[in-house]
Amino acid sequence: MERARVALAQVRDALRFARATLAAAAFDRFLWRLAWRNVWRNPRRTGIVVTAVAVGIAGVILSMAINFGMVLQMVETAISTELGHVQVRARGFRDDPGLGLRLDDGGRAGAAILESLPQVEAWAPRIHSQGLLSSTRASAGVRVLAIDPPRESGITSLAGSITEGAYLDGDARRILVGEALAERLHVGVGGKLVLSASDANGDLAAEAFRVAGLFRTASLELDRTTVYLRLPEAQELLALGDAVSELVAVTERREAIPAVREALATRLVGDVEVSTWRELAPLLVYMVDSFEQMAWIVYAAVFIAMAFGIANVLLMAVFERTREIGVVRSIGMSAPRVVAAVVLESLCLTLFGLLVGFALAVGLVFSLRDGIDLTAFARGLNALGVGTTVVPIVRAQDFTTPTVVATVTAILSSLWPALRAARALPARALRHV
Amino acid sequence: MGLELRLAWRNVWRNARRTWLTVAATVFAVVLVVFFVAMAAGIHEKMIEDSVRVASGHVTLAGEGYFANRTLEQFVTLDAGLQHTLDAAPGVRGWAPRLVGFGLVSKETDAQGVAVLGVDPAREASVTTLARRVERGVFVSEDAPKGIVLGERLARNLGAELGDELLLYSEAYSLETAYDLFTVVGVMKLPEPSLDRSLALVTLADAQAFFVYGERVSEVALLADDADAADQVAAGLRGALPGAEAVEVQTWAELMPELVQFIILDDAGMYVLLVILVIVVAFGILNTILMSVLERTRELGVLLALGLRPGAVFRLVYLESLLLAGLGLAIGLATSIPLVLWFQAHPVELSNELAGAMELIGAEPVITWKLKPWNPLGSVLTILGVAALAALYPAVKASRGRPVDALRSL
Amino acid sequence: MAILEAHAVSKVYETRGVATRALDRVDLTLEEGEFTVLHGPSGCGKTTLLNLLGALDDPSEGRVTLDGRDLAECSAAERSELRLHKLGFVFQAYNLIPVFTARENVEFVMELQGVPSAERKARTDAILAEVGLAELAEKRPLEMSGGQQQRVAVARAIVGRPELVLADEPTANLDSATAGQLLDLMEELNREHGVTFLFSTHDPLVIGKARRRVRLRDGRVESDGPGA
Repeated sequence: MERARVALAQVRDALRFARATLAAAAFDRFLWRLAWRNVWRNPRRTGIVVTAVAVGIAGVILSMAINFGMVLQMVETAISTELGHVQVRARGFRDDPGLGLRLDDGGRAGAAILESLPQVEAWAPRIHSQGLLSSTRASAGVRVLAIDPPRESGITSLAGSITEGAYLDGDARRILVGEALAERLHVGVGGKLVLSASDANGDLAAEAFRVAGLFRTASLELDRTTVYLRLPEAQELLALGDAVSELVAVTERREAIPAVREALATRLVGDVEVSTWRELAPLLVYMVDSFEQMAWIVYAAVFIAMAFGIANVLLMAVFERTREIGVVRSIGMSAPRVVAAVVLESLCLTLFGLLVGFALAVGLVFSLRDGIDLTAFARGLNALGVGTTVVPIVRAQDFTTPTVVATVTAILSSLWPALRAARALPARALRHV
Repeated sequence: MGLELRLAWRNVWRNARRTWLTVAATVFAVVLVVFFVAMAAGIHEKMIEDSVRVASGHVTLAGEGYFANRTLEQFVTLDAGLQHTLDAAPGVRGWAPRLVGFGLVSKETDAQGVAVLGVDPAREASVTTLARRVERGVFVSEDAPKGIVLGERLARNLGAELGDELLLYSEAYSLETAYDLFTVVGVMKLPEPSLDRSLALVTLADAQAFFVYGERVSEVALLADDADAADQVAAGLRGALPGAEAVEVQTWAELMPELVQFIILDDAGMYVLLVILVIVVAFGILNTILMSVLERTRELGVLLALGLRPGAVFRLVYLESLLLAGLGLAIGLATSIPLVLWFQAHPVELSNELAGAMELIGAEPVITWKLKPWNPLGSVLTILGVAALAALYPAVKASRGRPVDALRSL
Repeated sequence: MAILEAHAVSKVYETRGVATRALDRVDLTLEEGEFTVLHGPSGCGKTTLLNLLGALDDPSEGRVTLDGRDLAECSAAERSELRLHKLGFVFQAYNLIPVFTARENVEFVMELQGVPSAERKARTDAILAEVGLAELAEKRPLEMSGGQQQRVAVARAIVGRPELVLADEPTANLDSATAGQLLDLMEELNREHGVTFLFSTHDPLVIGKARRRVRLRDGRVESDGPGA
């Protein structure tokens, strides 16, 4: 009982002490001034700590910016090579993407709604199917995407990815093949390919096509597996009549996606499902969303490493100033104020390094604004859905996260030196010269 | 030397608090570096093994031109001589002949383009893990002819269940149309989504009959001790094969350059962060050594005045920083190596949303660790190197001082 | 009225198990307006006594009361407050915060006391003029001579309007001319503003100016009587 009361009193005292420290740190202009000037008493030592903090911060910001640039490109690639922002499909299509689930009205109901929405920038119909593509030399299983070429250009960058030949235009029975696939099938532009597929009735259908053009996107997977036909020819080959597999829409801004989705979902009737790119690319969404957590961990690791150095410097500073602390204690500076002065010194030191680091990072990112050429890793990047040029992207979080972590680090690493400084009894400190 | 070392060691402990703080920072960095490098090595090795053991092994042997063309026109004849060579090749843990063709598989209104893989069920198990990946039903076997095993996504896309009859349609080696009915005997779950969507397994004998291929095979998949040994096995095999044979040998790294590049990129991102960490710690060492040198200006001046050569002072300061870094390294390794070995024995199964995301791309939601010898070795060399660099300035400063100035200061 | 009273205070230091009695049952009472010196040979306990009187250290036995309050019953925070409002200190050397200018060093005490900024400025100007350093207000300690630094220390000690200024060997590091000027300044402050001073010193100049002299020897009061 007695011990509990003593413990309670100690806790109360500690809280009172902390409150007084906080008040002094927050409201005392003099303490800030004292802290800032103390930081510069040993410019060499301060310079080393500031350099460490600045180099660490700038390095982490830059590498996180490059990473985020890659992740964002993966999202852009996924959206601009296929997904678009919003998709309208028959219910269950995502789990069973066959010809059995289709929009029998040719997507007209959805198209009418999309046309009426001002946020929608473009929309296009598509058919998804599978087939066997054979040249005279080899065959390969392929994913067949039938498109409306002019409309598709509003959604994906396919037209811009043509490296040889031309996009689908007037000529009948033309097909677009990825460079990687064409190489495997040993065909070039103008070459003949036979596409076999089973049609909507389950009968085997085959048709000869000529290669209109070869494409190369940032996705190796797509280049290897996907071919593009014109919509009416696919509908004929697959005995689909008017039907399409999906409508894909792109909005002007990503923020408009939920509204468009909502409008479609409420106004469309029948067995229809409206989805967004986030549902179709969960891994990418996870990568974007988890990026924040990763940043916290990385900053924490780097700052823990810095904390030892900061604590070390402050401890040295406190020992050097033992007598001075004794003097200010004896003229009536309270212990919480002494603690506050050391904590503020730590904050000045760390946050100054942080600012230098920010400046350095901004300079580095600015000088790399045209992107970093990673052509040497083209295949690895393309397998990830990233182009060969990566542009580092910094966001507000890249500055707020390290600021928070740096502040916490500065405070925590200064506590030991600060409490040591405050514990020094004035009488004993004065004897120390 | 003995005396110098003793002096350096005592100097290190003159300010024990400062030394421990610096050592703690070094230990932190060593543990982080060893831990994360081992984690990346473990994850990457698992990626390679997962890919290799559902694809064509660590090393693949095929007919000349097969790797560039991958058609039925390039083949290997598995005669007694070749079989003997494969059995005798050093470092080969197993080998399996396979026939790789392409076709269209259909069930009612759904049809899917597939890669038809003909395998020798007994031999296949010695190289790949395909048989173990069967989730429902059984693996193909010679006892049940005309059986077919599908990737899970492929089965779903086709709407195919166990026991369903599927029509396989393709072009035979003879250039005639080939079609036949196969019965679904199993469904397997493959890590790579594009494989899961497109792989259909039949027995080698059925495939040879279907494609009218005789005794030929497309490739022979070989298993080495591990991914790192693939180059050696491939080289040995190339040397052992008589020149007359029109065959080619490639390793997994040559066949999957994107995987190799992905690993390099992934490693690069991590190493950048670890290097930043080490640099931060190096600044800490620099500060500690510099402070201790500046505090001792007078003392070092006395040593110089007594006739100690500047080189000896330089060496003394250098020795102190290496002792400081070495102490951190020793404790860091003593902590991190058991830690990593423990994790190596106890892989961490993820259970959060990351697990869900990983399962979507077919990766097992497990994080593994692998301590390779160059990991601690590289950490030691890096940190010692960085410490040596950091000590340069204080050491030069200490040895350059003129005794008079040093004695006057303080 | 007594400002400060020490009743039978003793102080025992223990180093490596050996106890040293630095003060032995000392009684001392200080009245308002005094100009008193504690003197005696080195190691007689001057500084120890001054530390006890200034609430910088605790006696092993006995009691010190400041304005009627027993220091032993004060918490650390309350002692800080007492020192801040009732006491001023001048030390032998290294008195000032090196990163602050003369003005800031003086202002700092009032800042701690919570004096409003306009008043702070006016009082700083006045006190710096009084100690004859108006033109050095923006200089830092390292840019000033030892005598100038001690004048700033005196200014800082009295600017918070303490009841008592404790000065521990304030002239020890000064030449005799400078020491004389500093002493004149303090005497003037004592005379004109009624600031009470207690010195510990072995400087004959200081001892000569004191109006009351307390001599310590081996931790005891040897004599206590009026000075010049």
